[in-house]
Amino acid sequence: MSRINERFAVGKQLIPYVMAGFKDLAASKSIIEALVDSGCRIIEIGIPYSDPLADGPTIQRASEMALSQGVDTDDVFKLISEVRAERDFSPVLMVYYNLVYRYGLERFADEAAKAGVEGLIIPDLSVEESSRWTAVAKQYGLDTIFLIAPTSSEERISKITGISSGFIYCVSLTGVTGARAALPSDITDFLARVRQKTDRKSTRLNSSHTDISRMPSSA
Amino acid sequence: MSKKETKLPSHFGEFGGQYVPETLMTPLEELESAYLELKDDPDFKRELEYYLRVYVGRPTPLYYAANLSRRLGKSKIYLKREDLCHTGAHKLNNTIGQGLMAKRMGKKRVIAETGAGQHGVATATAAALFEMECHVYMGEEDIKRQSLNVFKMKLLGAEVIPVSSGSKTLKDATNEALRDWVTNINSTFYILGSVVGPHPYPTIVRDFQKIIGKEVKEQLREIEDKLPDYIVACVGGGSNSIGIFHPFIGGQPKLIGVEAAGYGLETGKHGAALAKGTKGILHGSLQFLLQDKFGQIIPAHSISAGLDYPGVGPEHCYLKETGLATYVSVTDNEALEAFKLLSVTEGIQPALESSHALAYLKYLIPEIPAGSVVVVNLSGRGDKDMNTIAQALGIEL
Repeated sequence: MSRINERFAVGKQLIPYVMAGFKDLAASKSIIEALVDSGCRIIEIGIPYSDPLADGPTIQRASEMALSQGVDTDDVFKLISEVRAERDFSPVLMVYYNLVYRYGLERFADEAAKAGVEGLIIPDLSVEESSRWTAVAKQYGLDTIFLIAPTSSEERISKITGISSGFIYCVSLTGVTGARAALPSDITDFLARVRQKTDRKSTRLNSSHTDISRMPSSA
Repeated sequence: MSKKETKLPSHFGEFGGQYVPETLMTPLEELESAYLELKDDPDFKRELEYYLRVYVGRPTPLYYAANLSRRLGKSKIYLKREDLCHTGAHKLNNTIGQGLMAKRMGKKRVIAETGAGQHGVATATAAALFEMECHVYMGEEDIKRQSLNVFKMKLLGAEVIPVSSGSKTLKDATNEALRDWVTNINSTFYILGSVVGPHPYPTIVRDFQKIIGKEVKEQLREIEDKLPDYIVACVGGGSNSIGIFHPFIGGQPKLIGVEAAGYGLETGKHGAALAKGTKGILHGSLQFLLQDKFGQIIPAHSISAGLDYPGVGPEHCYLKETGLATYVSVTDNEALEAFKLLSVTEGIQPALESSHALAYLKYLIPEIPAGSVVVVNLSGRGDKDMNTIAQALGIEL
């Protein structure tokens, strides 16, 4: 597996998200470089997509802006490998499954690994549909980070903690991505519920202006 | 003793499935259990049958189109008159069914996506009938093109929410409805309008639409004492076609789905996902769709807003791959010609969607044995399309 787990062993991780190609490829490259230089060691990099159904207006618009400039999957791989050549960090792709599927699972994993990608978050890949991808990802040493939602049953939480690698993505509220003034009051109960199912003592991160918190997985 | 079903099949071959964010998995599971419980519940069935009969106006007639049959050659053409359903199309069969489910599940709010506005109107109608709050997502482009249906929905008490993302059409309205559902899963029932989306929607919508085929079987037995030789229906998402096909799958009738070729398949401006699409994931299920080599979805084009969709229901993909049904396509212009032909020969003005099915008859009839019985699903009426048709004919109303 990748170095993502080791990163958490060192300490808490601030994991920012950057849409590749927003406002253009050069700008997103400088943003990622600045984040690494400021100490971020895991960075989520979004591949723009025409139909980002888990995302709110901010990421939708960023995606549209990147696509309107013709940014494609190969550009994103190139961008990542360029930054990785000069800086040490663990890039995690945030990518909708159709982009992986259409590219070809093997080919996608191969190109991603070559570019230095270490993990993938595929927001619309449910556990139920994931076996083909996770088999390929394992072969290429890529982590697959699954989502757990506040609506997930105990049974589903167990299933997901069992197969998620790298870290677990806890969606802190039911809704799309985007800024919020506050996190839900029952967030700590939710995280405790997830923690019960994973044996690792783990750090997590909460930002009051995002709807996402994360913890390393037991995998 | 029969074993009670606990799960419905989630795939049609490799197609379908549940490619959705985790937040939606639990509500989809709840929807499936509710459906499994209700579908054989005598009270639910009685209530559904009641509304279909006295409210929707079922059974719809199976009409022998003698003039059209004479005009086109030696076959007997029957029209299944879904255009005579309340609100003007087959869409209400599904919204009454899902509306009743929402009521049984204690949901006070329903949401829907709509392209042309037919499913939006049908959902708003069911919501008015069952006294539920109703929000309909509709692309800004479609709102401009279909102002009459927007007005109707508002008069029915629904709120129409404009969608300004992406191509501002049906696919984006569907994304937005799914986003709403992710946010409001406790209070809200999502009434999906076609045999698309994540499992169990393609199955539920099909089951509510298969009454079309069931009636055809009974009606034709009465009139001709036989099964149809050919069944022809248009395919956008594919709910009217799967509805009329389903009771005949694997049987004697040859099933033909007609997609929108728009300006022509070679132009790239069409809605023919089965003819020209490649496998991919849209709105939660694996299907054939219009996309580029990286998997970005390409907007469809059709003169008929109901066929203007870049994907197609997973069961149709399965029927195509297994050869259990055949799929063809006709252009905008051919559909317009068919619209005009049915108007003057039979005094029936079909929806532009249904006109696609009719348009294929000029290719089919010369190829088949004389005396063949052909049933065409006349899925909707053309009232909603008058502005579009006038425009296409260069006439100012």
